[in-house]
Amino acid sequence: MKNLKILLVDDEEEFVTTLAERLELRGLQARTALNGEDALHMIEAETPRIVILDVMMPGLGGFEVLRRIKAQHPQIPVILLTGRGSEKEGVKGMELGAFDYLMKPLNIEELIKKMQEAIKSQP
Amino acid sequence: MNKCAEKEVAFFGRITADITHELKNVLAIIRESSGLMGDIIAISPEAIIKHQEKMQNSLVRIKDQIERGVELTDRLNKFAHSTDETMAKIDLQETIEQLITLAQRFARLKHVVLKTVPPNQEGPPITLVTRHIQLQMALFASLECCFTVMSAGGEINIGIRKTKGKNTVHVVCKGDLPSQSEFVRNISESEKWPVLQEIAACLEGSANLDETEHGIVLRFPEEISR
Amino acid sequence: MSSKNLWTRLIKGLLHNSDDDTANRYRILRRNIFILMILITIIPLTIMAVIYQHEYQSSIKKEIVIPLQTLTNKTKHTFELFFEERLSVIRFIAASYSFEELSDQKNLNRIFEALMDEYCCLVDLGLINKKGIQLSYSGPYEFLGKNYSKQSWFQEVIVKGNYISDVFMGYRQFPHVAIAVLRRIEGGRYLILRSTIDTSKFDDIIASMELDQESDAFLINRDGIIQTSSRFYGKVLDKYPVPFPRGNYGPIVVEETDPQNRKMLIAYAPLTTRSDYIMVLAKQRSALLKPWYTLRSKMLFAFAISVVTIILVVFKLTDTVVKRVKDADEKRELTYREFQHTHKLSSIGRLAAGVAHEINNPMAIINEKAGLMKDLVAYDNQFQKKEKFLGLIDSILKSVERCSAITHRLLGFARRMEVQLVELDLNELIQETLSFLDKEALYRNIELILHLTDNLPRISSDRGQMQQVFLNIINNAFAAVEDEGRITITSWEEDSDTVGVSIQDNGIGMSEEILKSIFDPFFSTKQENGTGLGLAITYGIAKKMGGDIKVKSKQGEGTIFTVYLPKKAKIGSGE
Repeated sequence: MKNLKILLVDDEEEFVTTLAERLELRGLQARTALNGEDALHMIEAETPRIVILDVMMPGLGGFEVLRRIKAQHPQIPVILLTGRGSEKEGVKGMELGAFDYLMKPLNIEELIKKMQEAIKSQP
Repeated sequence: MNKCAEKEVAFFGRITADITHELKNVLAIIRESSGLMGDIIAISPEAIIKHQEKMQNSLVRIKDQIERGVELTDRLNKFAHSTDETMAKIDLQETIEQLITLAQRFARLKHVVLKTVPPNQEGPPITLVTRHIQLQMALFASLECCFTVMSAGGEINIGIRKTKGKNTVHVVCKGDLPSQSEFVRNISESEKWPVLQEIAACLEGSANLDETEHGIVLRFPEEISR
Repeated sequence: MSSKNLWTRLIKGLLHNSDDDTANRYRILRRNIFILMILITIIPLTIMAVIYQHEYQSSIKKEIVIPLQTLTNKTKHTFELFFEERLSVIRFIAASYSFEELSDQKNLNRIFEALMDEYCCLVDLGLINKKGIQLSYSGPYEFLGKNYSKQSWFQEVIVKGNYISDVFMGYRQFPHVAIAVLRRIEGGRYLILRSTIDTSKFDDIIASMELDQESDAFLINRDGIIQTSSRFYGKVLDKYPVPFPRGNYGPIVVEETDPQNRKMLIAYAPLTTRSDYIMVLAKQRSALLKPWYTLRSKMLFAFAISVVTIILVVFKLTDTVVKRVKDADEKRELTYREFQHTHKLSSIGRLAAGVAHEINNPMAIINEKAGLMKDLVAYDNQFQKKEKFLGLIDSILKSVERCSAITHRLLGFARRMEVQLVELDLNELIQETLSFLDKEALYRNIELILHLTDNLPRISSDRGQMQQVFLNIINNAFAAVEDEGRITITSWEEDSDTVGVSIQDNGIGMSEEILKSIFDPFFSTKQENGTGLGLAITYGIAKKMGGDIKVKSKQGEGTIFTVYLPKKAKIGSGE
């Protein structure tokens, strides 16, 4: 899992940059995008191995970004981040092609485990 | 009916306020823990090593409080959703469990422990079609009646039992308690007893003192009329 | 205003009085319906009764009058015939015999005897000459040689050639009538034959009318002297006390009050032949009209019973109807209150849930920051990163502040859930309500434009309910706009008593049809969700506070809701 290229997409800058730092400390390569459009551009520029995507975002919403990723890069697994009490969103996301979902606040160990599963499922 | 309705809003306000207070406590602790770490760091890099344990403890505390905060907001969310419809089909055991978590803080203040044991019966969960918030109010008022009579270190157990084919909710008090007759008298004379009676009436049910155990028996119809 | 309009307004006015307070409202409604129904039923009934009475009266009168008339006429004819017969035979005698033959007493006797055999009621027969001297006489009286030249009948018979006298009391005090005929013979002489008739036949003729106790038939002369005895009005030769029609006329019936104060129907039929007689038939009106009176009292009785029945039935019916209306109203009011309450609770619930949702992110941030610190300590032993740590802690504290603000808001809201009148700053209330929807606006890129007048006068109202009103309308605006839409909220002082707030969106708008029903309960444009009560309740609250809500919308262009609120609240029955 070393040097795994991860793209983190979330509009909360504080959250996403800190999470990226933590992942980097663990030897992973994490880039961040603060909105859907930027995320899609970045995917075009350099394809990540996996995308961690927040569903609640202004502008191009989380689900729309998920759709486009799945349309253009179906091989990239996407893990969704949802709010608590929003099981429905997670389920909807999986119907749209997400690999799985996790609720915020995150447990980083859980995230890493999920990513490993996702990578395994999509060699 | 209007009287029943009015009290619901007040109850909602009370519970929400209570949860919010707890959240404030959570935040306070996070604040303090971060403050402490800040102080240590401010001294010198070496101080960080010297007080490593304190630093780690602070971090652990923060993590714990976040968990707690998350749990509280879950509770708030669930409770908030019980207002979606005045009348709803509810899972009785789930409501009891929910109410217990909501009442934990109050119970802690009185040094009483709240417990519930799911009924050991197979089959579908026991449901009622009733006023969701009123039901929670009934359970809460029963607890309040017990609080006034119990001394510190006691325990209250809320459970569903089947008596003569009907489901009843038993609020049973354990601990250092007076005799059965005195217990009955104390509860009947407590401030919250008439309130409980009113709420039970709104639910077309009844609240009576248990004849055998120290406790209150609540009866509710399976479906109340509109 | 057209009459139809006026009519509709009248009925509406009677039946519609929404602004009255409850107890009065039903009393007035009951009274109005009662009056209306009574009028509708009793007026036609009365009109009908009056018309029938009138018709019956005139037709019965005809039925009574006509037989009366006919009988009188018939009897008159009988009398006429009687007289004509007698006159005719006397004329025949006068024509058949010569003066000399008639002046012979023995001859006259013989003729008279033959006459008496054939014709009843002749009492005597006599010949009178031009000078008025009775030349011959056959009969019971001592008329021979009597001079009639000075008597009026003599003058009359000279002129008219025929004469029928009025009734007079003859010798022996029996009533008689005299008839006379005149024949002119050669030599300028007159032949006058005179005969006296016994009026007993008159009574027979009258008796043959077969009258009942309440009737009276008799003859009078044109001067009003009774000629045959009357049951009610006197004996022969008494004056008939009732005014009667003069002149010539056919048989008629008149109504008169007689001197005994009885209402009578009197038929008069003047005899047309040469006499002064008038046939009179008098009948007591009450007797005649007895069938009419019976019918009329029956009708009156039926009418009275009908009216009483109608009043009782209408009263009971009105009572029942109004009671039903009251029950329905109360039930509706109750159900409405229930829904209103649910709506209030669920909107509060939604807010609380929204808050719980919002807190997530800052808590996630704290989590990560603290986690990073832990990691740094674990992975990277360079504790030189003092600034770094301080930065992280700072972030944590900021997030805590954020959470704090959110929970504080919720707490404030939870505390204020009771109904109370406070001085509200609407601008502040709107902004607070918006703060709950901030995130949604952000996520959906909705532009929020606020034109909130500075120093907007405070209004006295219930905070919770006002929050409900604005939350509902603003929520609707959010639902109506697409992402990247625009919502403009404006507040202003409308006039010295009112404050106005408008919420405008450039969303999908509403058609004319939808616009009409937008505030109706149970009307909803959301397919699955929504009870359709949100706006109805919102409207209800605004109205209850003494304000109003107006909507304008254009499909495809947007909608604007304008809320008018009085500065001094007029809260009705409390919530």
